[in-house]
Amino acid sequence: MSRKTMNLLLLGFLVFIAGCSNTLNLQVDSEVPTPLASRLPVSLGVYYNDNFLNYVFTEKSEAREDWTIDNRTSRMTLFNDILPSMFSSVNKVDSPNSQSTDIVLEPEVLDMQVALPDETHSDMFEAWIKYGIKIYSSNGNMITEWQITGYGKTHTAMFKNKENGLNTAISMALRDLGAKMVLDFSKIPEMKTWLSSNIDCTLYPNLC
Amino acid sequence: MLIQPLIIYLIVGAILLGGCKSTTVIDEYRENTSTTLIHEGDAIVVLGRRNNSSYETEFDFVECVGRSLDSSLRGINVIPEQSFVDSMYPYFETSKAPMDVQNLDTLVQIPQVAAKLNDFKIRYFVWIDGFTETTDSSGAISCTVAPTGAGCFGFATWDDEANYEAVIWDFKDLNLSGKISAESSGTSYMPAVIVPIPLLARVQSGACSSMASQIRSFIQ
Repeated sequence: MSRKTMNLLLLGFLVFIAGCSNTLNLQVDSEVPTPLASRLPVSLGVYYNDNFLNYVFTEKSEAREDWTIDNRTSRMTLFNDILPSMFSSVNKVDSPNSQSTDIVLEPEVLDMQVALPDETHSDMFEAWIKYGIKIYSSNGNMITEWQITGYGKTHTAMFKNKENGLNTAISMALRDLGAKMVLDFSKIPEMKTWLSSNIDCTLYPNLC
Repeated sequence: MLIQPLIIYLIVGAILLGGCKSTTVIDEYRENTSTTLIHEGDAIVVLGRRNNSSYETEFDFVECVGRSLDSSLRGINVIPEQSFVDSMYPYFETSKAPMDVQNLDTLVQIPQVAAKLNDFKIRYFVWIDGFTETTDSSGAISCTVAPTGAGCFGFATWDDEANYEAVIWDFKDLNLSGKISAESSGTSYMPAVIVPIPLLARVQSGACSSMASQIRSFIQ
């Protein structure tokens, strides 16, 4: 067997091994469009706790030997892009008891799940991300803890490797989370009650 | 020596290509005949419904219908789906998009949404729901790679079916204008003698061109 043939066979073997690998180290890259929304007449403080700043999805199982999905930058970008379009002002605060703003949000990642096409017997990569967002009034009392789940999927798994497929699905899930934050925040029953007693309802009748 | 198999191959290919047809059935339901007319300067947007968990309307099918309308409707702007959804974020996201024309009425009460839609000069929303699937397949092709060369031998065939429905909303009158459905099916073949040659039935593209043509006659 010639040296050239040996090299080709070795290359084919390496490609085959790489294709079968169960390891994953994904740095999610995504962005959301600027929302078309009217700002609430409320000043907002955001407290990013350790969970939110540092959560990285990891899994070590037989099917997923060494999986790491890091979307820290993407979720920070999501919040930095979405919140200023929702509130009259947004400031980062060092504690949920900050008294410098009308309300304070403390988001955290409660859960994250991903699914591959061969696991669900479908032609799609899927992702679910669940956030818990604690909302505090300016006196430090918790108004409510709001849980939202974002779901995303790729429209086809064809010609997509694991990294590309999951990146797309997670990006879609973050986009879905952003949409729910913008459109559902003022519909939370506890927030409706808070808004009714803290804003001028004659100017904002649809919020009261 | 290679000439004889090549001739046989070409003859079989030509026969199969002749038989490799797809059929499309179009059905139309018109809600209101008096106002379904588009004018020069108006815009139309073609969007995919993707809220079903078991399938998803393909982006390339929606794009195909949009492109086909764009090339045949002179003076009418066909807005690309992704550009429209991004501009209207978050109101046309999968989980938040209006499911019927009454929801659209609620949506236009929001000043920013109404202003953006007016900027686009939207006259019609076309919502496409459906998918293409392989319903049956048979045959086998085996390929071998050796230091002296590579080749395939065998024969495979499969049936594809496409089912799509387009729902047309009139933004001017805020009502349902009508529905168009397209059903297309066809059989593809892939003979392989050294090299596999796919002879594909153009099921999805047949459904796309038929649906686009029907939408065009519907709104003009």
